[in-house]
Amino acid sequence: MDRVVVIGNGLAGASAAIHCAQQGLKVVLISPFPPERSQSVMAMGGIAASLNHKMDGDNAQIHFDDTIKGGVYLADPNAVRGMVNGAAEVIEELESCGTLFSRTDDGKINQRPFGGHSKQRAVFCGTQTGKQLMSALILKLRALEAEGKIIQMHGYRLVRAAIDDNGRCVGCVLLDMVTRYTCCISCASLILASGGLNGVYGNAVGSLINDAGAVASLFGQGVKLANLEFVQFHPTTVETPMKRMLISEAARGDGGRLFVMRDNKPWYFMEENYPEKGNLMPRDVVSREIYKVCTQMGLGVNGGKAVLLDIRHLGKGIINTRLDEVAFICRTYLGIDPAHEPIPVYPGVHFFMGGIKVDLRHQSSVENLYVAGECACQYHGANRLGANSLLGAVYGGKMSALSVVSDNHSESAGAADICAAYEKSFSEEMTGLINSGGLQNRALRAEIHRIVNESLSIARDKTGLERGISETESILSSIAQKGIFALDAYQAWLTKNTALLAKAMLESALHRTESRGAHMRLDFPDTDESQRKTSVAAYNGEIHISYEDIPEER
Amino acid sequence: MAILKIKRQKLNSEEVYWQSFMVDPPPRATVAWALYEINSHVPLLDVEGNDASPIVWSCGCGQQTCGACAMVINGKPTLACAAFLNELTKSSEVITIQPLTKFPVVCDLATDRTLLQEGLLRVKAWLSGKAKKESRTPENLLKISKCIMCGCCYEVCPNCLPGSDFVGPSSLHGAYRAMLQETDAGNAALIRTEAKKLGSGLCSKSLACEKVCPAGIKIAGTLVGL
Repeated sequence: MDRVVVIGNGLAGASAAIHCAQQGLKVVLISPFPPERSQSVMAMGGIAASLNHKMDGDNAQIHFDDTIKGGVYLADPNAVRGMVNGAAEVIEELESCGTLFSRTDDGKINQRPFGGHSKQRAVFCGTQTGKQLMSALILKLRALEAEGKIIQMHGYRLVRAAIDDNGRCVGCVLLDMVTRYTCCISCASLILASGGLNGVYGNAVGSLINDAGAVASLFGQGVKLANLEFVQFHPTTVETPMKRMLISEAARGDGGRLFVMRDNKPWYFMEENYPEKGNLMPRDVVSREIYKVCTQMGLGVNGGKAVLLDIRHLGKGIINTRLDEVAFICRTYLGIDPAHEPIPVYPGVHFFMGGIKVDLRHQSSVENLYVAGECACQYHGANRLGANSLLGAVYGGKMSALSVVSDNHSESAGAADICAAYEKSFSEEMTGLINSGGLQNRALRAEIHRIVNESLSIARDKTGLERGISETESILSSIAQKGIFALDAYQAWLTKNTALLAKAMLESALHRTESRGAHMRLDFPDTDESQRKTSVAAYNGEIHISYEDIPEER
Repeated sequence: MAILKIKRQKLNSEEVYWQSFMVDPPPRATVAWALYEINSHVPLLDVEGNDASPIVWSCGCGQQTCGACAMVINGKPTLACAAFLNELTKSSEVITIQPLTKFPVVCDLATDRTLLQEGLLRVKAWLSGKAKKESRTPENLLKISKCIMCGCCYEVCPNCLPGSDFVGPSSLHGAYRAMLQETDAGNAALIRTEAKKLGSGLCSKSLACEKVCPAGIKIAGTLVGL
């Protein structure tokens, strides 16, 4: 049987690898670090599935409606239908791998409310849901590794896909992160699950390991991306000296309330503005409200960028058990005991709804290249609901694996030679970037982060986006002229690719002249039905933005 | 002010040298913050004003969830994101930082901890079939499932020595976890046998690992369980 290479060992990659191996395929699972380090372990609040264990009348149709509406009608309804219908089976599979879900008093898997979900739907493990799911999948990976069905390679990043003259992916080039030597591996199918594009912003609440390098590189090779303008700002993040950290939505799911002081009285703005769902509106809505309260009304804490999240009334019992990770972050990194004082929060970069464009079967615009998890654009439309990311990752990984199995590609005869040629050209390109008289790499990267954070923040407008585009353009042209000064050629190469990806994101945001979901245009505040389309970014020496219709439900 | 005295080693090189950097930490800043801060300086200068290359270290979550940043800080193995500068500088403003010593150094503070993964394979820490369904998750099982594979326990353990068969505490926790969740009695017995042979039988019960475990996992419970 021909080899499948899976890049990335978080929830999506692990899920893909497990399902491929269980179907008898030979899998090589490649990642820069062991799976315990993947960003998935940071996921806190839950994984959505309409199990109806709280007997509140939940079912897959309601989960579907919530997800489509939450994504402001940009998600592919057929993909979402598959995901919500497959959710219960995903939970069952995760449990049988050894996931320790939190239980109700009568022993059933427990469920909690989450933003944008109209029923109590998030299955959880305290506020360490991602960690628990990963630790169970790791047990499974190890079992399959012991059986010889999976080989795990740690310490490598994908830097190029090897694409043959017929436009098929036949393998990839890897960089050994220890020695910085390149190598290549041919395969019949490649599944990419390299996670979110955190590296473009530099201050996302997720893992610093997610440098966006793989997606940026594939974009430069012509792989199409979609919906790049939709970046989720999680409403409740906190500032700590090193990075912004997330306060799980579970804090509001379990009853936490957002407020600011107005006329010396607490004003529960979400509850007043949205009487029905209040604090549990979808994240794009909550983040926009916080932005307005602070920026437009000037009611933030001390006039600054913060509102207060109050969970005091929940009591120590719930805070220390169901919200254990929230309590830990507040006590350890903020010096605040959330049982005694409210938490100052503000929206922060959290999740990328956009990514590599895939079809219903998780195939990208390149044959034999499949993509799953956060790096794929699937399921979430213009705004992702909480607890749908873990579901999308595990289910998407599984779907990509099933597509690989049913497509049953075989490795083409010349694959190894093609990969070797790509490896050679990559090495030349990477080292060719280095120039001692060039721009300082870390300064360049900091500049890209500044541009993206300014122009592509929670609220956007034409002036800011055009400025950002012209700034990234000048970075790219000076790199082309002068090269980059860096001791580590990979970092220089990453900077160049990040600049290109950032430019594509900025252009996607400029082209969408409406406000929808996570994309808020101050100069186009309304949603425009004629723009209910997927934006597609393609690169062939120039960036091209086009639009595709949302598929009808079959 | 804090001075970080860092043991350094270039990629693919055996040569070791020390270099010190000064930082002015805000309240609640960690060693992880300091390393991040130092590396953001352009140009990057050490305390003597010499040019320095960015410090290589592993960092993922920055909030004690991924285990990437384990290193030896003032003689104690710990996560850089759990080591607070205000506490470390109480006795001296100089903080000594070196890579974990029981794992091969990749570069500066980054180490290759593959042997921790190998240990889990050696004790056969996996399930042969479906996991046991429990109507209430046992507290000890929940606790050991939080292991982040950072290697602090292995670093501090007096029994984890070159040439020893001992797989170390994290592998024992993994074995115990698999044993508790295994439905196949035969496989559970096999895990127990392997864990005894390569682990619990070789542990001298210093309990040193318990004192450094970032996840607060107790070896005593695992030993009793196995």
